[in-house]
Amino acid sequence: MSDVLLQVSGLSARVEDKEILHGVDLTIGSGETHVLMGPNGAGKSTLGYVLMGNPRYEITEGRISFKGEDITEEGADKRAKAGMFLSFQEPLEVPGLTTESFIRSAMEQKSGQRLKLMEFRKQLSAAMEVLQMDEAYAKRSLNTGFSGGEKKKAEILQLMMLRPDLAILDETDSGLDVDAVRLVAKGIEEFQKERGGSLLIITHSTRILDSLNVDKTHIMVNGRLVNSGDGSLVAEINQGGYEKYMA
Amino acid sequence: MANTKEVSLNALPVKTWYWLKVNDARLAVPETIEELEPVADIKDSNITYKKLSLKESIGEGMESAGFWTGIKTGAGPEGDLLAGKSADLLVQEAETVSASPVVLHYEYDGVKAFGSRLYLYAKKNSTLKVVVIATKKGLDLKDTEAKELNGSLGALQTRIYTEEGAKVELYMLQLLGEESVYVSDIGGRCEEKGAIALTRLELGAGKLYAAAETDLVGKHSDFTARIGYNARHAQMFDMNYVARHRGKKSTCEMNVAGVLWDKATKVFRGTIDFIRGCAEAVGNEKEEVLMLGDEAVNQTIPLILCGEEDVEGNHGATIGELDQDTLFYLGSRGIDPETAKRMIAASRIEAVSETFPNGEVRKLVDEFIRGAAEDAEF
Amino acid sequence: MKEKSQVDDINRSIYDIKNENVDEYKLESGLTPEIVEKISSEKNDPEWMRAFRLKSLEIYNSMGIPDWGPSIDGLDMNNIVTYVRPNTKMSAKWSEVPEDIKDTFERLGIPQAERESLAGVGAQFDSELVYHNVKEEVAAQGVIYSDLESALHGPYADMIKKHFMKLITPQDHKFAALHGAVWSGGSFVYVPPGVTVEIPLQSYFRLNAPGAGQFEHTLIIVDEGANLHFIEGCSAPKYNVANLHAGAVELFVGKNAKLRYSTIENWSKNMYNLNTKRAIVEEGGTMEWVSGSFGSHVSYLYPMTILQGADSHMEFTGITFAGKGQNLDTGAKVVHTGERTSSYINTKSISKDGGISTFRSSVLIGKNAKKSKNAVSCQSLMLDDISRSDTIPAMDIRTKDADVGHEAKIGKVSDDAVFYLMSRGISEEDARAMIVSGFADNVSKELPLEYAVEMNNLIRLEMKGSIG
Repeated sequence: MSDVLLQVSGLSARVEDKEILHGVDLTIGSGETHVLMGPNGAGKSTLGYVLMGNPRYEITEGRISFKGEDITEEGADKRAKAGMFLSFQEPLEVPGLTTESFIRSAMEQKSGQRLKLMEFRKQLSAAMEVLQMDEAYAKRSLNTGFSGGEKKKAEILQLMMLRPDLAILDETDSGLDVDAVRLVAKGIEEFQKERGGSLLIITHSTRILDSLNVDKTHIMVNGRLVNSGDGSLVAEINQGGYEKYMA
Repeated sequence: MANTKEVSLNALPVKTWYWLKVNDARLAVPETIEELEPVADIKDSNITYKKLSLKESIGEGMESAGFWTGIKTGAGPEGDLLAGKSADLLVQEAETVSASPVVLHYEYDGVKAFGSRLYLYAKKNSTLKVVVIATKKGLDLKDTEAKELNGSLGALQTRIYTEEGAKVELYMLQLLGEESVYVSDIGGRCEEKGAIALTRLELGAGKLYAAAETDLVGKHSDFTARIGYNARHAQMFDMNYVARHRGKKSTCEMNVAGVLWDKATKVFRGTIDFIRGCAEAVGNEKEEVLMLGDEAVNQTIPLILCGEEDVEGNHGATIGELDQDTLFYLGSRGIDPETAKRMIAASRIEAVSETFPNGEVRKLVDEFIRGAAEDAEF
Repeated sequence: MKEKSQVDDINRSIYDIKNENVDEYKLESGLTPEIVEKISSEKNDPEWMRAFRLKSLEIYNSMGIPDWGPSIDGLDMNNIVTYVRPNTKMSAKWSEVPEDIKDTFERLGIPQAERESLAGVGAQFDSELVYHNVKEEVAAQGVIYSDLESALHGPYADMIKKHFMKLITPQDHKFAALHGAVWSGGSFVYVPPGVTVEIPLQSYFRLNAPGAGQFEHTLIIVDEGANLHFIEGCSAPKYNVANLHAGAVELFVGKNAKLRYSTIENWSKNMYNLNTKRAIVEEGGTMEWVSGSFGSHVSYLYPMTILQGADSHMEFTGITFAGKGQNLDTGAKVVHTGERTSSYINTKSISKDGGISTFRSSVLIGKNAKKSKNAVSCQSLMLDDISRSDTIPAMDIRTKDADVGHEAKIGKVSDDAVFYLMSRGISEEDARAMIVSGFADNVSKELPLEYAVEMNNLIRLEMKGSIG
């Protein structure tokens, strides 16, 4: 068994007056890859947001600990600095802030020291190469005017550059064509192998999982984890859907 | 200060409640205003420069002062009292495009009152590009101390006329000292498929009165305005923008984004006026105000006036501190809320400055942002 | 050339019933201290009220007519009969209301509505309240619903004195001053702490005399934790001379209390509707306005809410329909002074046949209103190119810790929407009518079903369109 990286116990959360998560328990060990599946509206994205500390959601019960520290009350920036990452389905557009200067600032914030421009550029082009992103994107304003696929790639680019310990990927593969899924998967694989990072992948499809080693699969229905199993559960869901969990 | 007179500027096209104090702006201006000539850099041989006297009407048509003074401006008729007695006229020849933009540098001494007039004329199917830089002489961008107004004034009135298919791209950077009042007023008229694209960055001046009114006379005529501002200390920015749609299928797009620090005040009046007959016209206006100062005051008055059925008009405004979603996204990348605010504030200005065609302006702005970022307090 | 479906003018015939010869008594035109004294003594005012009226008259005479809204040149104050009252005393039984007046209300469907669902009805005929009733069970809860004039002499006299024209002062504007001088009739409602009035209270105003003014004063106090829905309806038959309505509505919403104030205004097209409405909300309280403006020649109407208490809340939902000869300047005002206050303004306006509709608003968020929120959304629909529709909002934000959003849209019936409906087999005419009717839905769905009957009377005919 690997060391426990993330421990979620009895987590309930709501947005405005609507309770969405009900007593979620989840443990992710270092280097493990977990998949979270479930029907639309089950609360999967909410779990991602709550883990990352989105202030829109209020935790009503339970706790989240990361690397042994209770982070239930921490802001998103503290969690990120501690080594957590969330890829967004609809990332923010910031006109006037270039992608490269944003990533550089984020890296400097995390490490607390200035980054040499040359060293940064080298890393950035290497990562962009893996994702087959045109280098011009580095000079463009963050996510501004990017297509859906480009935004997803830019999220994975940030993942590769920020090198967190745990990456939560929220529907990173949705809306991507086959080639783009392959590239994004390559980026994730690189993160998994090189960094030895843990993953929580929220997804509908299996395409992105093909090249990844899945340790655990969780099924979420109505804000509850109703089943957990190994990687084979993914295939089972693909065959039978969620019907048997929906009673 | 010597003798002054009070003028009314930036009047809202339609009045609303007086107690809001937004129907117009009042400004005391000196009786005597000297004329200031810009340092001009004109490289393109398709651009001609002439001096027009407003007193003796020498030329005919576009070279007569009467033609130009007939174009209404955003500050209103009393804005005329501030500008000079002659005007600099720039003409772009028909069917040509400015190979490199004309750069006009107005340098104010921060002591006296100066006024200038600039007329821009793009002949048929031409594109005239002009960059106007208004700065204080010897401005030190590292000096971020607040200044008291000292009676100094800069005023620039710009009138624009575009013939059929012609376009004027006007870029304006304003970096006066906070001891000065600056009045920058624009009036424009566009014939069929004529267009005015205005990019404006307001960073300096203790009190700023900026305005533009465009008369979209021709079919398919177009006005786009991209305005960025950064007001800090006790700076007061008063703006009035009007797009008057007369021509069929005329379009306008006004985007305003700015930052208010400390106890800065800003009034933005933005009007889309659909005159009966401008069928299929479309007008959009959007304002984003980032309020970062504890005592900052923001007034937003976005009008849509409509006398035509077949039009589409949209207004949107968001006002406040950084929104939750932005803070969360940046936070999820490890950026703390204060850094996030500085970053977004700077990006608002960069987004406008990066569209300027000359690197000199971008350098000035970068320098300004660095100074402002250090100055910023929450 | 495409033929557009005709959207009719509101059929006003049922509202244009005139009652003959009921004016027992009219004061001479013009406005002098003598007239005001006379009104005061007729009403048997307490002394403070007499002094208040005279003071208001002074203010009225010192103030100018506003120069920022629709023209009110057609209004000649010297020719306005400021005071009329029908020859009847107040009545608590429907059967005792004189036949001709009853006839008018019967045709307007008021008593039925009361029988069916309303907790109480006060009906004002010209300047006087003629019919007043509170269902027994509501009265048993301690709810007071009476006419304001007699309440001035009753057990709540001190409470009225404490609140009367404190929210809307005569200094506010010329017509508020006029109101202070000549107000007449109107309702007083007091809901004691913790009481929820399950069914709406209703008042109905009808101006019947030509060239008359109506100056009713509505004062509602909803005490801590109480809950009330109050409905106001207005109509008048059409005359060729200008009529004036300068009423005042003052609403006090207590801590954690809730008040919904719904209005369907259908004054005839000779009416100058210069009405002032204002609410102040204490901590945790909620004020909801539902407002339909269909009638009047000229309207100036912007209900204002002061969110004074922390966590207080306001919602305004309105529709304005300006047809031929109408210039309706409507909207809302909100002032946030308490922390974490929130307000939502949602309005629709329709202009046709040369009608002018103006949406005017102001949103003020004060320095201390930290963490306050405001959202304004206004949509305007132009049904032809001889009409006008203007949008004049203003926002004045004095704290960084606020979240303010504004959205305005103006346009015609969308061709894409028409095409979509037609692709489902609906005729173009019907498609247009459906879209216009859907556009007006924001208000009709906020009204109680029973009362929506009148609004439906007003809209249904128009939105259907006359085809062929």
